[in-house]
Amino acid sequence: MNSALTFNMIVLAVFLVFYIRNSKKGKEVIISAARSLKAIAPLLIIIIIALIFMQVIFSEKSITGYINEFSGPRGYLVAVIFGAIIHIPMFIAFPVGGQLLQAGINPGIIAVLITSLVMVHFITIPVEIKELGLKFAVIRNLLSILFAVVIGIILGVLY
Amino acid sequence: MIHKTKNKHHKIILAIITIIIVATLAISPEFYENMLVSTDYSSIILILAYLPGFLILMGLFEVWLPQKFVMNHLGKHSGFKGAFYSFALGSIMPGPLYLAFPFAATLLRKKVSLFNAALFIGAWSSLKIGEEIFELQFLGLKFLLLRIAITIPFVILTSYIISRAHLVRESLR
Repeated sequence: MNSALTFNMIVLAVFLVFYIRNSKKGKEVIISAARSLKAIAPLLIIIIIALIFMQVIFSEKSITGYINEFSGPRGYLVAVIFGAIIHIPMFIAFPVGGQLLQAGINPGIIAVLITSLVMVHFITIPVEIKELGLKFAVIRNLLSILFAVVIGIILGVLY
Repeated sequence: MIHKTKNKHHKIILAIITIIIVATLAISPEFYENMLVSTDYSSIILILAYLPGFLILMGLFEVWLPQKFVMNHLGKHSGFKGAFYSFALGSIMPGPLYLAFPFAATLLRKKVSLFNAALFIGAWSSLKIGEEIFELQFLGLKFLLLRIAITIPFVILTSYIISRAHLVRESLR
């Protein structure tokens, strides 16, 4: 909690410095923050519900055996596919990852999930194709899937 | 630019979840009662505690680092300096990944190299300075440093492959 408070204080101090220098732009910052909150609010509520339910699921003894089954190659595969399909901002992916880490899931698999979540986006591939071309989109996403797994395996070994 | 996040799908999912919860609440209220009492809310409180500072920080990045400034700045540099700036700006710019694609296309039109444009997308997607505070808090310093140290070489490798094979639509080459 203290680090969150410190973080907020530092940001507030920086903001005040900018606000005093240019109050018009300072107001734009507030408007932008308010609009961001409005845009992410539904997702935020979904994630909060998911975090509560995850605790119930992970508190079940039977799930532990289930998780062990997914700690090998199959876990990496599930994580990379899940990450590619689901589309959530990074700052929300981290608390979910933290919850999984607490539940005893292999850090390597969490790294795969996070890397895949942030780098591979099946839903936005049409935008990528339109702007940068089919080859760019396909190769970048395929490489990202491959490297997400490699990054996770390396992190799992080193962690 | 987080406010450009499209939330139509999220609203639909949230509506479905609400319906399921309300329906099951009628069947077994005890389940929810037990769940809400025994839940550890610390991680949820932490997310909410970081949120105000995070949103203001993103707002600061957006207002004081306008897209025009970033594009003009990137266009001027090449070589190692250009690559460094591409990576740094990609990781500072706030917003969802699909905003990085039109941005990168504009960079290419401004004669920024394909390697640097791909690096910009790689940095945008894998390392967001403003969001690292969440990684530090929820996954720890060790995880954060390891993930970044391992990810950066692969982002560079991906950009190298894309630029060597000229994997971009012809009008942008």
